[in-house]
Amino acid sequence: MLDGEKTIIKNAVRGEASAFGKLYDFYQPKIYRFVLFKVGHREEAEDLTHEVFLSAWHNIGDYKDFGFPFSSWLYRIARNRIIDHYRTAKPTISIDALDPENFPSPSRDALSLEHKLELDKVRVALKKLKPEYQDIIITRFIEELSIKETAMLLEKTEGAVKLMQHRAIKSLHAILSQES
Amino acid sequence: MKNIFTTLKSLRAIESSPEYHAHSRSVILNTSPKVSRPRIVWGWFLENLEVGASVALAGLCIFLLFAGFSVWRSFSPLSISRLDLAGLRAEAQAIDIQIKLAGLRYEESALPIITPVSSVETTIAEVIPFQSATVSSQTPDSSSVISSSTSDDTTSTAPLTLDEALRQLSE
Repeated sequence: MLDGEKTIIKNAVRGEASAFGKLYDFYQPKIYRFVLFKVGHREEAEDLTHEVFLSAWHNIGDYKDFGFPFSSWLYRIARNRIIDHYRTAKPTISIDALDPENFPSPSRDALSLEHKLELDKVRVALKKLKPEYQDIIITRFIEELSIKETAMLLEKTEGAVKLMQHRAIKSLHAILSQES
Repeated sequence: MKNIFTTLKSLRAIESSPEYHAHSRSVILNTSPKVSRPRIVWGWFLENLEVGASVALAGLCIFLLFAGFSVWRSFSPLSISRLDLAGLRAEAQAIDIQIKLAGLRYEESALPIITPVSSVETTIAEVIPFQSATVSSQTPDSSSVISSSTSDDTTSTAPLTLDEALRQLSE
């Protein structure tokens, strides 16, 4: 959570661009990753992330603090935008056929070849999971959101999230075992 | 399993390019947001008025729904409970009496004509006690009336057959 986030959000709600800029700087990488793992393509992820923040900025006046983190609101916008994207998207090539350059690895030069291959494998396996399992893995194990935040984002109970995360990890493990 | 979690965590280091980040940020912040206006008193009043009006309307609908049933039950023309049974009974009795009196008058006129027929005699014999029972208070001496009318009718009308007498009786 951003330092002094409540005040920053209040200022952003009043239309203060610099306040929203701070929120953008803090949350953009998280939302970008979330979208990237879901769509599997860098350019699409960039476009969708841009749309998410544009929508958030245009509707910031309607934002109401119900005690949930601001990130939950952003993730929900992103999730809905991704659903719309898949609803209207033309057929695209599969994740396996993607050029790895379209999917940037974390500081590629610094990683060993083995680690890079492992990351690619996990990414591909992640894309093969059911969408709700993808959401759980990304939010819980990559972005490290709390169970409560994830439950709010996915509109499920905390118990359901715990159960789903167990199944999601099991499925991911099974896919990775099959491939290796 | 542990290895998966470590790998997933390392995916957290993925970031968009700094150029994209800066460009997207400036494009977004150059647009104007939909700012929430501070709530004014008139707006607050209107909002409450809307809520109040809808609650009142819903209450009125519920009231009309229930009141309608009870009003219909009380004032419905089809309702039997509102009928004045005693009055109706008296009225019905009055109507019956008139009919019987009219019938009696007719029978009085028919009496002498059908005297020769034995079956008609029995009918008259049945009618006469009935007449005396029902209209005794109104006609002090019905037998005398009958006998007098009998004498009049025998002189003025021609004798009837049994079928004609029965038909007239039925009319």
